Amino acid sequence: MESLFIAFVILLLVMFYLGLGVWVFAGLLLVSTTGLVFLIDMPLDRIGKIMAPLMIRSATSWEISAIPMFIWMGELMLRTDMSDRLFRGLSPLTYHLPGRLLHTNIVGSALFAAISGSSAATTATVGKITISELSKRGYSKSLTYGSLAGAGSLGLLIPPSIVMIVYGVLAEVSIARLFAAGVLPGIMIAALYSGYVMIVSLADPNVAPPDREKPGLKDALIGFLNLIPIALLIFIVLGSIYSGIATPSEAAAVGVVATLIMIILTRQMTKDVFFDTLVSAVHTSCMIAVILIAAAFLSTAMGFLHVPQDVAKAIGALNLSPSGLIVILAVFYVLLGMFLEGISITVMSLPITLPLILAAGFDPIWFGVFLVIMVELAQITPPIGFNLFIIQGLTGTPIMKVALAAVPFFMLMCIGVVLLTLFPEIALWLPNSLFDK
Amino acid sequence: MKTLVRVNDIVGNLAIWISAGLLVYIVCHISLEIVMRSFFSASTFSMDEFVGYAIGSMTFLSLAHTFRHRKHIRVSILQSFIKGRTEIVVELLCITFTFGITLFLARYIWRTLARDFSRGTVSPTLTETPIWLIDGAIFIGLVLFLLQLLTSAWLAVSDGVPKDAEVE
Repeated sequence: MESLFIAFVILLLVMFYLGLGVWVFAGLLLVSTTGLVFLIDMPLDRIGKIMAPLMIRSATSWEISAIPMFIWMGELMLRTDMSDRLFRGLSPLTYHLPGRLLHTNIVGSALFAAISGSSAATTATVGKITISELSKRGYSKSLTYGSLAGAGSLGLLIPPSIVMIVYGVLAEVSIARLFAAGVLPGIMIAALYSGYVMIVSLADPNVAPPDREKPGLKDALIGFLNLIPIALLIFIVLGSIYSGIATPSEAAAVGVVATLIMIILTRQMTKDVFFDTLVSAVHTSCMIAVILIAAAFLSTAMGFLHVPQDVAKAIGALNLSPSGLIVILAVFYVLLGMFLEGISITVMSLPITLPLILAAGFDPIWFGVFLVIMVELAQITPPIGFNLFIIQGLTGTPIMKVALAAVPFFMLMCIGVVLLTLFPEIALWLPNSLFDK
Repeated sequence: MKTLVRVNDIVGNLAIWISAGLLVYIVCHISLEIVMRSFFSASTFSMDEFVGYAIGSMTFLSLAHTFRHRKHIRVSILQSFIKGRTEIVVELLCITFTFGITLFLARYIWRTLARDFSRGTVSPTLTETPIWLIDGAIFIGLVLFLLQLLTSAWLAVSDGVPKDAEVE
């Protein structure tokens, strides 16, 4: 009873501080400190003595260095002609499929996801060019927004992925394995999206009207040429990891250097591009890193309050089957995703959910992929859904309308989760094949 | 109060450029390590350590500037329903809570810094880096953040609550 009371009070504290609008990192520190003082009478002096060294240690953790570098890489690509080349490259290749250029949203996002670690960067970069092009050609707005919202979130699943690095650091599992585990589920979800677009387009051809001029073989060849820079970056970043030249954290530096060289060679580098992207990357990574640092303290505080152990015991007492546990966790994450964004969901829930998952016999690498898909769902669920905000910002369409357009893609992602749960090998086959078990 | 805003602007800008420089340094050090390891079978023997220090310093030194640009995330459901004086009161309440916890943290980081400085504590690595340097960077970042919170509170009262930045 006492443990449930403590968990309930913590939940109330989270709702109070975060609901009031306190910035997430400060909210996490406040929840932890208030909880320790009022629930177990821990003296403030002791809390301070635990908090200070823990925060210094978390802040100087070398693993999180990949985050600012992948963000910088994304920023560099966002402000150059990379997205434009992506569309010009993909449109002649996808034109002959049912749904035509709607697939540029999906394939473009999947490809861009392979060089960017962020869902926001993927959605913004791909959407910046495809939304206006598809709208000009009279494509269905609902399918355009929905497919972009859904596919944009693949930035988190297809490696490199910032959320996966965060999960890897917190769960102490190999980031290289996590990256490998995200590839096939990412392709599977992209295929589900493309399949859906094809079915809808075959049922109603008006959603993807034909162009006056059909692209020919020459256009397809030019298209391939436009995709070379992005393919080269994917090859360099992922190749450096899996050839053993660089660790996942180091690969971020390789990616930044390769992107900088490419931008200089294509004569797009200006003082503004360099400094604006640099400062913007520092801002975004500060926002993420400081939440991670605060979450490390929250995790410690939860340990002192015995919340993970007690919640695990309470759920254990329910005698749920492993699949029952996964269903409960999926519902829990979808609910969290309505109000929190990805990093916060990951850092706040892991101290409780990870021990449960491990006790139930799930592979932590598999759970990392499951969690990332849950975070992807959070990106497209209102009222707080970052991809929805981005599309709203790009189009001026009300958020609920964008959210409605994303509903079929939300359902498809749920089907993806079911498939992943039924066939864990979808995630585990590639890492197990690439690395020794 | 205008002096506070100006001082805050100057030191905040200085700190963000130091942070940006640290990000460039991180990329350079890691690249150097990869080149040395791959082509010369050598190492800087300090990459994990120095990149860790740089990332910690970068995070805390950019805390204030990131806040000024409204890039720290929060759940702003309440903020979307309130306007005028209520919005200012809620903003001040959020700033007060954040100020309180930051001040608390800064106090204990200062204690750690003073102890490491007086004892001459160095890292247990080959480089034997004085630990107070990293404590100091984190402490300075927190002080700048406190200054930014004071400035933001003043600006919220005088000019109203600014909008949070959109996700980029």
